[in-house]
Amino acid sequence: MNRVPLIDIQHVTYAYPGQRGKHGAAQVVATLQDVSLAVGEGEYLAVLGHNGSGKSTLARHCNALLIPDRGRVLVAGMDTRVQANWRAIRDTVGMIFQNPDNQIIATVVEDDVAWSLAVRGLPAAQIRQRVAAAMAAVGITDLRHLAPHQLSGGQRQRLAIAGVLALRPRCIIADEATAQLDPLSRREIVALLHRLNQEYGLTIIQVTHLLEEAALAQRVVVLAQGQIVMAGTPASIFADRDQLRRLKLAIPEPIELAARLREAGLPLTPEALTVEAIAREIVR
Amino acid sequence: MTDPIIITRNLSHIYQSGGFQKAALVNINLEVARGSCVAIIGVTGSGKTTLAQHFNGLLRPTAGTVIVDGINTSDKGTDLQTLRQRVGMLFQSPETQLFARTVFADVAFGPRRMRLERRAVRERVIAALEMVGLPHQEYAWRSPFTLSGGQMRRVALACVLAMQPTILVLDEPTTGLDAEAREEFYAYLRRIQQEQGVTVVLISHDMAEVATLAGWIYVLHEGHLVMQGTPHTIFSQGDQLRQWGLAEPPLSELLTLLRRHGLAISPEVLTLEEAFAVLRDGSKVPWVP
Repeated sequence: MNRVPLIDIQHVTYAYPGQRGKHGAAQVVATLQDVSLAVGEGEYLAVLGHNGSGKSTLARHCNALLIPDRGRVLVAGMDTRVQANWRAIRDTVGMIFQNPDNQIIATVVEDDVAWSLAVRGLPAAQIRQRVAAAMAAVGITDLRHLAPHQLSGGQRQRLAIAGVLALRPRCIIADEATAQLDPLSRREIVALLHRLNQEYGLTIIQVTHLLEEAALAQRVVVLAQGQIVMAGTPASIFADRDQLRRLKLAIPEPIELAARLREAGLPLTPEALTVEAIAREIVR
Repeated sequence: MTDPIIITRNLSHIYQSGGFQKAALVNINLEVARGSCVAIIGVTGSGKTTLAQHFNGLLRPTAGTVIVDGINTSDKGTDLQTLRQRVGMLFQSPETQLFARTVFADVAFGPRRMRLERRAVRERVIAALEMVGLPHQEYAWRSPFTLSGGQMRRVALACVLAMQPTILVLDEPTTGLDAEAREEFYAYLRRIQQEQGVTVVLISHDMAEVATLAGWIYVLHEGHLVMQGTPHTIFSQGDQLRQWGLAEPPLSELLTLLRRHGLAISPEVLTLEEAFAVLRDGSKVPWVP
């Protein structure tokens, strides 16, 4: 990892306003409890956890949508508690959510990608160039004259990603960005995030409850009850199936099969985590 | 089929808005066996939800007939109220339909609308909550909005069950639920199917879910019923499914790849246990030259 992390989460504790209660702090269960995590520039990190584990809350601390009750978050050295930093922080860290429709504004695809640039008053030539580059990066150039409602779910999510990319962030956080998509579109989006990381060196934080989506990440952290309970490479995380089951995370059947075959003495490596890799090792 | 509970004959549905027409369903013929669990799969826009909405008369056929539990939905005089009591619909993200101050009031809403007497309403609510694993002593007087996502979804299911339907239509019932909540939901669903003999129609994107729950699968593509069969039959045709934008369950995909690499794995092998038994002793798997 680089000397200075792009996102530095230091001892963050956070409770939503409703949780803080009327009777003092004693009975409050915080959504995040003393979480520390550093994300390096160019890293591809997956944040795993079941519903209510605190993973989305953590993601929202990374671009100042939420501000810690205790501890602090530094984004490219900027403290999210300082309101004057918010604009620069959000230009640095872009976010996409479960439902792309919540961040699609315009009635034509290319206008939507241009929207946030126009709002910031960039010169027209620069807007055109950035919009074209962003659409090309996510593969929606051919769709640029369509209305967003004419796109499929996966295409709309790619549009949302293009809108964020146009702002030239250093990091993209995908918060359950595939949850509403069909399986093929889901894979397409995961592959796109992987490619953006590989080709553009973009830092990716992928928040998900699906193990199979974490297989391509360089590092995985698992959250439960507002704390980081596991951290490591995908191979090392996936190896501890009992712990994953206790954490209410479903183990994809191909990975379960590979693990049982390995236990039965077949020469499969723990690094085989995708269907293709497992198939290759079985036939070898 | 001896006793189909849902029959469609040459069912077509055309959506019309202004001068714009779209054929959402074309010539669908199917029969759903009473007490079975069937799944409808297909990409977004293939007509799954449109088809399901014909089962309780939310939509009526543009052409053809739909007969549900003996009721022909195309008849002008059809008693839609009776039909809708027999066919319970759980829409996508059903927890957004919860509105009452207490879980009890939410589940009692339907039975009250049926003008049942107080005691009957109470009995139905208690039974429905019991059926989804939320004992009424503990949950009936809580606000539904203080429950977890999985619990809210089960309350929504209880709302439907309190109507004592004979057919349950579930549209993407587990989207957004974590593994544990999902497993619980499956367990309650199986119980309802077995104990109450309810027929379940499942619409889902999740092929692993479909393979787990359904005994029969219908594949829709651009409004046409393009394939039907058991999970074994359907999921052994991965290439065909991909052409329709569908994916096999991940395990089937792995087995398909292995077969393509030359391993002679029988098409009967579908579950994790079966695959493990076959592959554990590698020497037993013959290679196809």
